[in-house]
Amino acid sequence: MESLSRWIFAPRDPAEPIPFSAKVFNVVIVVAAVAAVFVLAFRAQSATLNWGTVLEYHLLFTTGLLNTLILSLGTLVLALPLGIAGAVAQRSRVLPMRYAAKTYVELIRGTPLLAQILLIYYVLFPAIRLDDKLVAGILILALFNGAYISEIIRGGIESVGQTQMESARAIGLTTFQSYRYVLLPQALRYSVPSLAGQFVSMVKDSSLLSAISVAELTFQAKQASTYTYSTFECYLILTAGYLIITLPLSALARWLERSLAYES
Amino acid sequence: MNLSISNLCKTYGPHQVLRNVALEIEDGHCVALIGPSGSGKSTLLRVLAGLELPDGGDRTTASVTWDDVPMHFSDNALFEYRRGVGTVFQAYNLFPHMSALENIALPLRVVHGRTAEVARREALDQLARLGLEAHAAKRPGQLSGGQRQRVAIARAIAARPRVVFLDEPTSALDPEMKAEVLSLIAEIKSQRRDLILVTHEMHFAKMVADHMVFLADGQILQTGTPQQVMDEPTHPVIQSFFSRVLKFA
Repeated sequence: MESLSRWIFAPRDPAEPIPFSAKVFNVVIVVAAVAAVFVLAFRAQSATLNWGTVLEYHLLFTTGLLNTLILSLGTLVLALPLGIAGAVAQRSRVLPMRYAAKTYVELIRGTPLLAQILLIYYVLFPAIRLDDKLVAGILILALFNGAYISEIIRGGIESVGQTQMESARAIGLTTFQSYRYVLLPQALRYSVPSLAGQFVSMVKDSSLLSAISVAELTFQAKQASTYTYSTFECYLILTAGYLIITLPLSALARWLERSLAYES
Repeated sequence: MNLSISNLCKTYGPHQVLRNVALEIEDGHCVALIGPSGSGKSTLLRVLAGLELPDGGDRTTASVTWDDVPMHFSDNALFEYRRGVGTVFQAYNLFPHMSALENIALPLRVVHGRTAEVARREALDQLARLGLEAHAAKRPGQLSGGQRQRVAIARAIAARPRVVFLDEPTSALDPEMKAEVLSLIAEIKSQRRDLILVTHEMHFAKMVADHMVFLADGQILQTGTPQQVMDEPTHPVIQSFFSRVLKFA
């Protein structure tokens, strides 16, 4: 009984770690419950899963996964600096910069990503002769996520106390140095949980690029399902593919949050 | 230092916080600004520290001169000015994501142009001189309130500023920590470094200050030695202020 209660209840002291066996036990139960729901649902439709033909198209899935990974990493590398620039510009005393940044954020946040993808890909990019789909996809996603990230970072900067900015001025830092050494390091720390959520969304949002035939995971899974007629199987693999990217991302975020923690 | 102020006004929205402040201090080394809350003493200190523009900004009619050198009230001039002075606030001076050592080394390196190695060594020396070397690697969150203020003072004096401004440096501390910070301030005063401080610690002010300036309602009511101001107040407001604050002291 003693050990069963250790598996079901967290220790009274929140600082005490949850035993590893309890973690495994609970995760297994939850995953088994979700799997059971799906198995029963398939049974109810008397559908059977047929993996043989789907697995013949494994190359489609691996290139899709790889492209989604490239899209995600490329977007992350571009969107974070863009978001930081957007946040700083929104706080700038130079009004054209401030309003350019605000307009950018409102335009991007106020319109559907699908519309942005189509408009930018078919109207803007042909004008500058950009036709590499992966590069186009990265640029569009970076533009989209940069707007959200800039709002996250702006919130982070605003939660850094006023006296920090004051102290930075008092010791003679320039505005750039104040951001570089004082405001942004603290703002980024506050923003880690929200940023992690945004990055996870970003990975999933890349699926909308299938609308312009970027060979990412969703597009490839759709292809495979039209070849094999095994739609369920393809979407199960697709689901697993996204989890392969998003779960480590969440774990990384939690680790970052812990390792950046300090008493303020 | 010789400090001369005339015609200094500061308004926040509808509130006139400083009304035509004028002040002459000759050969001052430790000036205490005192007065009731809302008297404008912190605002005066912030203008002198180059953190706040007087009314009129760079076209102000106010004049502030240090040893016959006038202060220019433009953003760029004040930015340069702040590099030559030190300022300590009531609390939250230190950057919480950096160790005590990094807090002191940062301005030495990025503002005063020392190399990383020299900045580090000077910061360590500074901490050692103030008996804080044991805390060099700690972040502000791991220090007591008194230790934090001492590190903040160490940072403010590390680049050898012409004058150090202290804005109620002990108001957020409990009595024991107050004492450790006050004795540090007395010590840096004895090293012939010029100080201007806003404080509510009257006995301390009487002990260390050579000039005391009493403000009320945005105006200076009396200036003199602490003995003059505290023992021979020239204005009923000052008299009633001291009878209140010294009642239980």
